[in-house]
Order: sequence, then structure tokens, then C-alpha cells
Amino acid sequence: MEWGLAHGMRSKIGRGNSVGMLHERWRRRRHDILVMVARRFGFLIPLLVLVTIGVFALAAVSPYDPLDAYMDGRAGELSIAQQAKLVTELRLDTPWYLTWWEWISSLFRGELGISRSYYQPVAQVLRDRLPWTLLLGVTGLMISVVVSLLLGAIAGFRPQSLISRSIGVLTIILQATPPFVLALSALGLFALSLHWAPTGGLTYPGQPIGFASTVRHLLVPGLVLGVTQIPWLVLSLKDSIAEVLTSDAVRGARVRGIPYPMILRRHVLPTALPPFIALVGARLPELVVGSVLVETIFAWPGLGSALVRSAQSLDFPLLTFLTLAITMLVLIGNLLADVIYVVLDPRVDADA
Amino acid sequence: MTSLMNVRCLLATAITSIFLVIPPALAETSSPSVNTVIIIDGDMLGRYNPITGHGRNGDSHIYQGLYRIETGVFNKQPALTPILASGPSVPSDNNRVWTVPLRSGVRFSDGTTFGPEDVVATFKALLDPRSASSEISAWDEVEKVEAEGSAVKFTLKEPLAEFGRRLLNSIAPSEAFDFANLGKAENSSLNDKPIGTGPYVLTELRPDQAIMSARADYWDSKPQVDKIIIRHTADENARAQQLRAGEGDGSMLAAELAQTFQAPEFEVISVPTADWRGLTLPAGDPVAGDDAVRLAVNLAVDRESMVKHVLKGHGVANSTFLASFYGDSYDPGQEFPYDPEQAKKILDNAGWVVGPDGVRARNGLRAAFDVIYFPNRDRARKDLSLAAASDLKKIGIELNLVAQDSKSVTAEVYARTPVMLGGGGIPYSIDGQIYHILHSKYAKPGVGAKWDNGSDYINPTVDRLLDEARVQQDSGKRVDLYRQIQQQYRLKPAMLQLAYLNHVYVKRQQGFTRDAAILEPHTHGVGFGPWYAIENWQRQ
Repeated sequence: MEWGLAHGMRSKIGRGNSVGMLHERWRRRRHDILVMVARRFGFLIPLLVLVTIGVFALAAVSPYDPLDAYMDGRAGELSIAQQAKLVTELRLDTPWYLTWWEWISSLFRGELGISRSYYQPVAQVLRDRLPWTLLLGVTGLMISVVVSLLLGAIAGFRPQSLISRSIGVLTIILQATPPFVLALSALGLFALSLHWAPTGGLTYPGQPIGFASTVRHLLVPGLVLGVTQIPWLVLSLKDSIAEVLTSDAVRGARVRGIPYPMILRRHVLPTALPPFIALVGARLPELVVGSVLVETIFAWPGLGSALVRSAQSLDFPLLTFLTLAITMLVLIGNLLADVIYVVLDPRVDADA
Repeated sequence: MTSLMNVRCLLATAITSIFLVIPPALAETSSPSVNTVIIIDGDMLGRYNPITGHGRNGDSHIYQGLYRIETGVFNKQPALTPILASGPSVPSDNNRVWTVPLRSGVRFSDGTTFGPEDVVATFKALLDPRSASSEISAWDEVEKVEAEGSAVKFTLKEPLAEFGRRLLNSIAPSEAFDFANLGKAENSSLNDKPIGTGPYVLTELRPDQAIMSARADYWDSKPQVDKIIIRHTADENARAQQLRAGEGDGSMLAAELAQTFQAPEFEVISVPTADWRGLTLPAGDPVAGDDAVRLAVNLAVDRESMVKHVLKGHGVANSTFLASFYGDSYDPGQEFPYDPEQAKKILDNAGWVVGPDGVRARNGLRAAFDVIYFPNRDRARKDLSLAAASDLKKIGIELNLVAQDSKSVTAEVYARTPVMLGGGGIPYSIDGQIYHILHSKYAKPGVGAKWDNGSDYINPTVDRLLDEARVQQDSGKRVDLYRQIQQQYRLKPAMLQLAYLNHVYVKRQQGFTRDAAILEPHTHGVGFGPWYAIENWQRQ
């Protein structure tokens, strides 16, 4: 009874304090953070340009034959003369730096170009698919963050307990399971055995897209995508918690008689979180790229499969644009994680 | 501790409630109407453009061609049914000029009338380099196409006895082409907004779903299936799961997967095809290109067993490319028997002696070679390659399998390395099927296509017979020429042809009677199998 009261009181004070502390820290370091963001963005533009050059240059040495891709694998049917005709007409014989120059100058004119692998304007491919990619990615991210926080905290707080060891084993099994096995098993379980969820697509066959049906179609692929990301996050959080738990600060706090739950919440978790957040930021692009298999199995029309398709067809307008988007995602994900890191952890400098 | 417990409780409640909400909501699952058929397609949707090959073999539900292949005929050459043509094509000038009379009273789905100008425009666009058509190899022999009254006249560069049998491709309206400034086919509006004369019109196109609805103004009798919903799912296992869960009425599946579906709910349809699988034995490889080796390997593989075990019975053993679907031109007596003892004798006589490691050698050259197969295509390529390697090991020839993406195999590699190939793209004439495989004019580097005469096989007798058959107008004499080709091939084979595959489809029983499938080409998809003539399905 007494403990409960004390705990309640302290936690109220503690909450007020920690928010105030973060606010104070943000105010104090706002200038540093803004400089960091500005510097990173200044760095972003030349980097993106370099990435586009890299895509075109690497594609030039790739073993894929764009003509064969255009012919849907039937380039072998063409005579040499016919091949030459098509190569000229499709401008496949242009050196890569000229192709790049044409692409980037039309980009600055606001033209995204035509995707050769979809026979559609790049803008249309993006319009058709980007929202679904974001929806799936964000759902997967939220599921993985929430579940990993929970499992990682449970496992980290009691490193020797049975439950902690079970979580460890579970995450290692998950890590070792290929995503397509996971996806097909989830499909079999939720759609076929339990009839809780549909088997794939955005809607039931022939139905228009609506909110309720989208949620129902999103759940299982989102869950699978989230679960595939969990092992990394859980293991990282578990480790950093374990590290903080053995630190002198925590031992000191316990000696001073601060209740253990409070130590965990006020001291251990805040100290262990920044590396976790950094990892989440670093794994953002994985949600787009890693969704390829989930997309393939759940017939989810996202950009992951578009990326693979455009790469195999050397479909430059689409491939380069998607590569750019993913590069931006990497950089922005990292930047976001860094900003949060700086705000959360007073020991870290903004771009020292 | 309490706060942690609270979080846990909250999460548990949240997860449980999510799953509690779903099941009742599922009650409203679709199965929209009884006259709707849902087909799950592994290929991506869209690209409904005749200029880039949509409906190349009369397999479109939206477009139609001049002729269509007769359904249900597999043991002789299937006949042609006039569709946009009003009768058979008439050859003249020694098979160099072909005239096709056209049907009147046909309208495109945009309301415009079909006429010779549409056929002329479609072929003009196919042949025009500006459209960069992927179909140019099929129409290389065509010099010009003109309207002649209500008919269309094709003039060829050189005579072709069976040219009429190729006129299966989709016809688009002339309004779809602006010849003053014709753009590439990949930019054409037909890709997303097709306009054809066929029984269905595209009414919705999403990346995951296309809907084709029966046209009220269709020129022939209106189909009973009034909606075809095509869903795209790339993964084969996922397609099977969707069928089982009732979210689809049919799909094309690999034989092993298809066999898990059973009557009375499902029908498994195994359709004979002209889609072959065989190994090239290029002259550029000193082992594979040796005449004795070429002959011996043909005797040493057990094709019947491959069909039974590798293809699970969904295929027909074949060794000379000609097959029962070419009618009398096919001589079953010229098929290679399975006779490994004879094969060993041939190799012994040719000086290929078994070495200490069980592999034969001649003058220090081991009887071993690489075999490239394409892992990104059908599974049969790999499995048949493995089976061939195992059979040939028994006669002392070693095959090393190499998986390589087809896009990265160059013409030089084809010239030196055996490849497990598939083919049969335009199989409705014997000439279309075998001329490019066997004629030595394609053996020289740089002549013809990469896949033409993959073995760089040179046999002047076969060349002469092929050229004669190509222009021979008398069908009886043509039959005789093709039988002679098989006799020559039996003595001196070019490749290790193994089998004609079946395409396997699974279809839910929905209470319709349907036409049989057609003898299918190499390509497959939702326009083939049981759905080839979906417009003729009748309620039982």
C-alpha cells in the first residue's frame, strides 16, 4: 500500500520532469540540430545526383540485356538486322552518360518519362503503387516497433528468465525463417484455416477499393512484413537494456533504494532506447525493399516488385526514380533517427 | 511492475479485439455474380497492345484476329476458323500474294466500323520501325499489306506455302494509329485502353485487378459469362491458396500443384501444346557438336520416363520436333527409341573410350560439357536437364548444369554451350515450327536470330527438303517432304529434343459447359486453356 502510493507520486513527478527535461534539451540544442539538418540536406542533392549516375553506370555493365527484357525474353527470335533496328529505335545503343544526361534534363523539365517495363508513364506507376507501398510499409513498421519494444523490454528487463530466453529463441527462429515461408504460412493459417483474412489483393475480386476492405486486406501482409523486421529490433533492444542494467548508474540507483520498476522506466529504458531508434531509422528502406516477397505472395501492388521488375528490364526512368526514392528514405530515416537520438541522449553531439 | 502489466494487458486486448472484429466482417466476401469468372494470372496486367504481341495467337478476349485456331484438335493440324475474315485466305502468284476476304457488320468497342483499313493499319504499325514492335520477327516475310475492295491483300517478299495459318494476331482500329507521327508502341494508349472487336471490353484496370465486361453491342451472340475478373498474383503457391480459399475460379499452375485440386469442385485441364523443351548441341562445342555424340545422346535418354516422372504425365515424349498435331506429316516410326546399348556402341565405334572416372574421352578430350538452363523460366527446364544428365552419365557423358538468366546469355555463348531451350512460338505451320531450328542458313554467326538453329547444324539434304516444302503448293507432296526430313534427322540429329509439354490449368466447376482448349503455342495465359473460348460458355 505504502509502496503503491509512493510509486504513484514519484511517477507523476517523474513524468513532468522528463518531458520538461526533453523540452529543455531541445531548446538548448535546437540550433545544433537545425544546423545538422541543413548540412545533411546540403549534402543530399549532390549525393542523389551521384546515385543517379551510379545507377546508369552500373546498369551499363550489368549482364541484363534490355532488348531481351523489352521482348519479354524472346530476343532470341530476332535476327541480327531486326535486333539492330529495335536497338536503334529504342535508343539502347546510346552510351550510358548520354542516356543519363537526357534523363536528368527531362527530369528538370518535370518529365518523369515512360516506364518501359510497365508501358506506362512513371508518374502513373507511382500514383498506382506508392500509396499502397506506404500503407503497407507504415503498418509493418508500426507493428514491428510496437511488438519489438514490448518483447525487447520484457526480455531485457529479466535477462535470465524463461520468458526472456523463449523470446530469444523465437527471434532467432524468426530470423532464420525465409520471409516467403512466413508469408505462405500466414496465408495458410489466417486465410485458409481460420478464414479470418482474405488471401490477397487490395479488395475481394471485382470489388471497388474501400476503407474496411483495405484494412482487412492490409492486416496479414502488414503483420508478416512487421514480423520479418522484429528479430533485429528485439535483439538490439534486449542487448542495450542488458548493458544499461549492468551499468554503475543502475547499481547506484538500486543502492539508493529507488523502486526497481521506476529504475527501469526512468533510467534504463530512456538510455537503452536511442540505439533502438537509430536502428529503426536505418531499417526504414528495408520496409520498401523487403516488401518484395510479401507483395508477391499477397498480390499487393507495391513498389518493391516494381523495383525488381525495373531493374531486370533496365527500365531507367522507373529504376532511377525508385532508387532515388529509396536513397532519400535511407538518408531521411537516418537523419530522423539522429535528431531523435540527439534530443534523447545528452551525451551525443549533433554532427560533431 | 504494475505499469508494465498494464501495457501487456492493453496490448493483449488490442490484439484479441482486432481478430474478433475480422470474422464477422468476412461474411460479406464477394463472389459477385453467378456469371462472373475470376481468373488468377501470374503475368502482370495491362499492356493490351496488339503491336507488342497481345493476342498474338488469337488469345485475346478484347481483340480478334482474321482467323482463330480450331479448338479440341490435337492429333492433326487444327483448322482455322474465320473470325474477322469471312472465308479462307486465297493464295496467288505462287503463294507470294495472299488475299483475305473480310466480314462486314463488325464494330469496335468504341463504335467505329471494322474494315480493311483497320487490318492494313495494324500491319503497317507492326512493320513500321517507329513503333518498335516486338513482333517484327513474325512478320519479316511481309512486304506490304493493302486494302482491295472489302478484302485485304498481303504481298510477301518470298513465297510461303502456309502463310495464311499465321494470320491469328489481334487487329486494332486504324484510328489508334497516327501515322503522321507514329510513336513507340510502349507509349500507345492501347496499352491501358484497348479497343477491339472482341466479345469483351476492358472496364477496369488496377495493378492487382483487371475487369473485362461482355459487350452489349458485340457483333456475334452475346456471351453468357458477363464479367471476367483477372487478378494478378505472381507467386504460384499463393495462386493455389487463393483458389482453395474461394477467391478465384481458375489459374495456370505447375503440374504438382495442380494435382492437389480435385473433382467435383475443381477440374484440372492438361492441354497438349506445341511448346517443346530440348537441348542444343552446338557445333562450337567439340563434344556436343560431334555427330556420334549427337546421335548417341538421342538414343540414350529415356524420354517416356521423363514425361512420366519429371512432367508427371503432363507432356508427350518427342525427339524429331514433328508430332501428332502435324497429322500425316508426322512419321512416328522415326522417333528415336530408348536404346542406351546402341548409344554406347556408336560412341565406342567413334573412338570415345570410357576412362577410369567412367567418363568417355577421345584423344584426351573428355566427353563432358556444360548445360545452361534458365532458372527464371518454368521448372521443367531444370528438371529435364537433370534427368538428361543422369541418363547420359550412364553412357559415359558428363553434363554440368549451369543456371543462368536468359538475358545474360550472349550469342557467342549460345554458339559454344548447350542450352536447355523451349520453343514453339508460332507452331501452326510445320514450316513456322522447324525451318528456323534446322536450316543451315542460320548456322552462320550473325545470320538469323540467336535461337535459330541453336546447334549450328549443317545438313544440305535437310536444307533442300525444307526449302522445297516451304514453297510446295500440293499438300500431299508437302507431307512427303516433311516425312523425308524426319528420316534425315533420324540419321543425323541436330538437337536433343525431349518433349512437348502440356500446359496445366485448374478451373472451378461453375456449371458452364465449355469448348475444349486449343493446341497451345509456347505462350500461355488467361487467354488460353479453358478460357480460350469463354464467350461460348453455356449455363448447364
